Amino acid sequence: MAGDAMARAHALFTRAIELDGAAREDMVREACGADAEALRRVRLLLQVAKRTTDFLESPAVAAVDPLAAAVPQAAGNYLAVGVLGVGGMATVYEAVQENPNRRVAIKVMHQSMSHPDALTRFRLEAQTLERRTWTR
Amino acid sequence: MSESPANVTLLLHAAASGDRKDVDALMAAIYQDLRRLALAHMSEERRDHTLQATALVHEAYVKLIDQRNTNWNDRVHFFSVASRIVRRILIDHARARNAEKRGGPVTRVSIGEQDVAAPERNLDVIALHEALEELATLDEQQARIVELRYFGGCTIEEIAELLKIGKRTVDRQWLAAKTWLFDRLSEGGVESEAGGDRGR
Repeated sequence: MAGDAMARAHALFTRAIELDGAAREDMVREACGADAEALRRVRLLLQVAKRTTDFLESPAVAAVDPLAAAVPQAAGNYLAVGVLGVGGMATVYEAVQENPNRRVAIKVMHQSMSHPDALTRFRLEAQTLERRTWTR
Repeated sequence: MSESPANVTLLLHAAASGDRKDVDALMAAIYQDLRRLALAHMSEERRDHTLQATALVHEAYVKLIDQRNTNWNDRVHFFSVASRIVRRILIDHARARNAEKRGGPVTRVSIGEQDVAAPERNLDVIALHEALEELATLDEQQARIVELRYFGGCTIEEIAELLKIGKRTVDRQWLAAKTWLFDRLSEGGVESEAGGDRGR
């Protein structure tokens, strides 16, 4: 379908949504005339419209993974203020801890990574990092 | 916040003239702040679903702009610029994430029938962005409504107010835009326009 024809079908479809039953059918039929392709396209979109109830209804920021991954805010009063990095396994957030007042990095594993092996590796990494801190 | 509300308000006024350079300066000034706000929304959303109804860009407007020195046009302008920035933030994020993934090309996830109940979790924001660009060539207002609503988090009422059109018109345009995008992003397209003669 060429751009113009597509735009026309879309405009017709937008008008058709407002009408019901016979009025809709009459309008679409009359507006499309002999243009069978437009008629087909408008009818198709009217069918598709019934399936879009929830589509895009939550704002984008609420839908993005892993940014939407739970940041451990409740534990120790951390407030995430930015994303430092996103990897294949986890996201590292820049966060502020209230007490003591300091900036920290919080690594949150992606949910898909929560199988036992990955968790073991994650804990090992945490232990290694902790040892590093102690030797300083 | 990195810029004072007075500064951002000045930039907003300059940008309202429509000069590309001024618009860029405004976008640069509020990008980081919006990113922080977006992130806060993302983490808060999990705890309190009522926040879904809150317009992200509305909150940004209150925090970043000096309300005493603004008029109606500034508000409309800010909302559209901010929604566009949120769109960009999410695309940047998706691209960075894709780049991080080992093993070659970007994996696109299409919407299948089974995802209709919660399609957003599987929605490829880059594919949506591209489809939205296409929609803009068919109907610019519809594309703008999607930007304000999906990326900006604006309610139907807010959009009606911003664009000075009736609430029912926004409803209708929103449904039309959603349907078009859904069709575009569906597996292989409910009707694949790009696929030419397929299925005929």
